[in-house]
Amino acid sequence: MIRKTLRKELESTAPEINERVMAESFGNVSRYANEDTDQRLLQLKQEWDTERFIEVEAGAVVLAGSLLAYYRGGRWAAIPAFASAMLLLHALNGWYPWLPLIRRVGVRTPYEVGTEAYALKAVRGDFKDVSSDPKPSLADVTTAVDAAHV
Amino acid sequence: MISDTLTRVPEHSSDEINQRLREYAVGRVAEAAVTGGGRIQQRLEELESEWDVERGLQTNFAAVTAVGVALGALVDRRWFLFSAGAAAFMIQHALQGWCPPLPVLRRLNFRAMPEIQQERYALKALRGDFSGTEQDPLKAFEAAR
Repeated sequence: MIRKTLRKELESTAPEINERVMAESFGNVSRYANEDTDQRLLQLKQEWDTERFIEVEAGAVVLAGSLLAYYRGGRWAAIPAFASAMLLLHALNGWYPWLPLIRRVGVRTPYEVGTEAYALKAVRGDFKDVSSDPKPSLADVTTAVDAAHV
Repeated sequence: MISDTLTRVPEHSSDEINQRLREYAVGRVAEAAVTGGGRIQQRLEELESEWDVERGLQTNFAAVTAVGVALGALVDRRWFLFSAGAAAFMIQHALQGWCPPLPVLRRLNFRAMPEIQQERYALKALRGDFSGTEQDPLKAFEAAR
């Protein structure tokens, strides 16, 4: 099943883990609001999300498996073949064999990291100059797009 | 070199492409905001489904390595080196933010997640989702979800 990009990892994770991660993210917003917002936004820019972990892990397995298949014989090809299939499954559906494990240890999805970042920006007042005009001008739109830059 | 997660793709794209994608975002936000009504909500849902560059690349790498492995098993084992090379590029992309298919995907208008999010949150802000969220972490967090 092909899921929405933004929520595919969430929909492939147990609800209680999603709730726990969301509660931790909200705790971070409360903690870093007002004082260390700049520093925290910098950390969030660097935070390794689920996609980055999965790309490194799948890349390493396919690389090692393909080299083993070349040097030690074609039977090793089953490993990169399986890893490729799992990566495709992740890209389309969101699930991945290691996803439950990395979610359990607190690796967040791009959506969750973004939610914390944008909540911090909102608390700081980054959106306070955005127009509430129901027919915004091009300048209003540009202001909004600039305000939404992380 | 290990790049920041959020900026690694725009940093490894040409200024011209980054600029074009920004203009695209401004245009789409303007179109949805001015149309108003249900159009904003509809556009927000489109943005949730938009394939970002990571999703495109993962699909691409899965397909390329699978073909390499199949040809290695069936035609010539040197094809295993082809899939090994593709896998090395995927690791490079994850760490650094660049890989050979990236310029192609960027030219096809695949956006990085932060670029999609920028359009999404600009639209939410214009809709007024963030009014009164200043200095209010709970309200801000609910608005950002």
